[in-house]
Amino acid sequence: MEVEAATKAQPVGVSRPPEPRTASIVPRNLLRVAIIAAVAGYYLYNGSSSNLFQLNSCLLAAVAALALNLLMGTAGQPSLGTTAFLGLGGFGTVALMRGGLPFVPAVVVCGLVACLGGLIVGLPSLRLRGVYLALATLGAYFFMIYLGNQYQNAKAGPAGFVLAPLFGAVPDLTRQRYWCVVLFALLAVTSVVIDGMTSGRLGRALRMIRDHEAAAPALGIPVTRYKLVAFVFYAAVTAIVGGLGAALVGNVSTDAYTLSGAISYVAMIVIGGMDSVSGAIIGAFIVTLLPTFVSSETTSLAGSSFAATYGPSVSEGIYGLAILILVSMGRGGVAGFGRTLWNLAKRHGAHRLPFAGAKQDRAAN
Amino acid sequence: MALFTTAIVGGLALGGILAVISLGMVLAYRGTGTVSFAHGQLMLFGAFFVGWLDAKGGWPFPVQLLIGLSVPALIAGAFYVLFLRRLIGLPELFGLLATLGLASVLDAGAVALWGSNDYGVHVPGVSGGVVHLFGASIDRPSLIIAGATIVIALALATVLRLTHMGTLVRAAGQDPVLASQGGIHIHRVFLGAWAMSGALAGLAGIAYADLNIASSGLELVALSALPAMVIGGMDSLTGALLGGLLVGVFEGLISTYVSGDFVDMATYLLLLAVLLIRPEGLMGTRYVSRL
Repeated sequence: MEVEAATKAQPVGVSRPPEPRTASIVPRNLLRVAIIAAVAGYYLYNGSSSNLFQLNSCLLAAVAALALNLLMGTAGQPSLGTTAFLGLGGFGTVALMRGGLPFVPAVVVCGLVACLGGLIVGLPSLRLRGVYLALATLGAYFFMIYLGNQYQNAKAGPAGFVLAPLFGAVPDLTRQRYWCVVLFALLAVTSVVIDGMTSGRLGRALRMIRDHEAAAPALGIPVTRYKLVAFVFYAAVTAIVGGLGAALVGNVSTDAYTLSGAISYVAMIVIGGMDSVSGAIIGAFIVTLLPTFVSSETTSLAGSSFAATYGPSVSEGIYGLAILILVSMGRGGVAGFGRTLWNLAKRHGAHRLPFAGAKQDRAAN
Repeated sequence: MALFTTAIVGGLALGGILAVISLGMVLAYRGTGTVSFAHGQLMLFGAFFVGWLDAKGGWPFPVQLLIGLSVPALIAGAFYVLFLRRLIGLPELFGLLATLGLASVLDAGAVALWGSNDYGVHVPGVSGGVVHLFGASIDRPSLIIAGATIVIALALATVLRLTHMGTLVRAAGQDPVLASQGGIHIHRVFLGAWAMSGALAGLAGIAYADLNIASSGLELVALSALPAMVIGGMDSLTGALLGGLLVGVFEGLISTYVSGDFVDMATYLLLLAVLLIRPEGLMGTRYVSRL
């Protein structure tokens, strides 16, 4: 409804660039959830436990990618702190569970703590634009690694903590099936919530902040509040994913939380397409499955010892190159490509790139 | 007192290196408005090429140095021509993302070229020996590297401040449209700034590897140079020098008197404090708009 109102408010006779043509919100979300459900359903019946574990990792990564997409794609605030909040979730869950709290409340408490953490890390970005938030999130990363190392050295030793598997004493396949159902539900809810958030008033405000930050207050957008909302939401969701991921993998150690891990989440958004809900999910699947794909390909091409040594860095190189190419040449990513195909098929021409408004704005200055 | 002197001199050696790194980053930032997160990887390439050629034998040091400086310069230049050039005029987020991509690619490249090997870097004339200073015995190499990097950074900051070339870089960075209408070939200037910045990263990498070792942990040093750059003021060359030395000495003191684990976090806490109290840094231009 609000989208229509905004369209009518345009003065008559002013030519507007064509709106991106996408399906309207309800069918779009139904279709997206149905596709994820079909994939999850297929593997629930046919997948082995390792297939399902990979699918679960993808579903989990997709939830975090959706949150990062809200912050970076929609609001234009880069963050290198994804692994910091994942680590907060992981170590926080371990600490609370060792303190006697059950798993679910522990994860929820971590989410709440991350809200506070996000508020603190987000504060400098309120006064300053652009890169400073990335630096503050880098600070958050070092803070998390320091505390995590201290805690780990004091209580567990270098191998880290081992978490008891969830869902009691069941075979591994059954456990992964339970996980799959839980994570599918989480991703479905998150994707619908985030699509709802970004296609309404909040989304328009965040895009205004992204493209014309200085002009946004003149339109009555409380820049400070919206930026903080985006950042706190991102921090909380990421920490919850961190807690769940720790339980899924069954192990928490500072080695798992690297800066290149944070870059891989950025890669998910860029590859999938900035500011696209479907794109973030697709990107999360691509980047999460890439190491497995690369290692199986390199094993068949060059042997398993080569694959073990070079596999992880080959996939890092591939998504690094994908970031370089997509950022400089096709900011729509996979989602933008799909949308362009769709528009061509319907003869609407190419869609506008995200951030296109920003370039016009800079050129006019 | 002896401990204090060691901490200060060790800090100055690190600070000189940080000053060279952040000088390179400021140069790139002055050009295209991009904060480079790939600087550590450029350092790594400089240091590893020198160490690798040294281990192969038969390469005189000047040739090693030339290659160690020109490889990162070429990478940075190619990065500008192929990718960054297309992002001029877009929000700085995109430049930042592109440097993250470059960092990943270079990481992968380093593993492909050198695996998990470490190499020693030996700059002639900078080896062994102990100097006695205020009752403390200090490594001679630290002292030499501290002196050399500070002199180089100072000389460069002066050159860029006083010469025509420096003015070109500043003009092109401040207003690309106006500068290009004034007859400045801005793409050539930006390319020069990035290549220079890459060479400086290589230099810092070689200096750091001479004091320590060329290993994959080298690239983390550049993450301490980011706070140095911001504390100095993002766009000020003199500020980069000051910020580098300040952060270096700060880290030296922290690791001597508190703990080595605490260094990264303390540096970023310092950064956070500076951002909140004086966002334009020590010597930066106060054009940061508050919203």
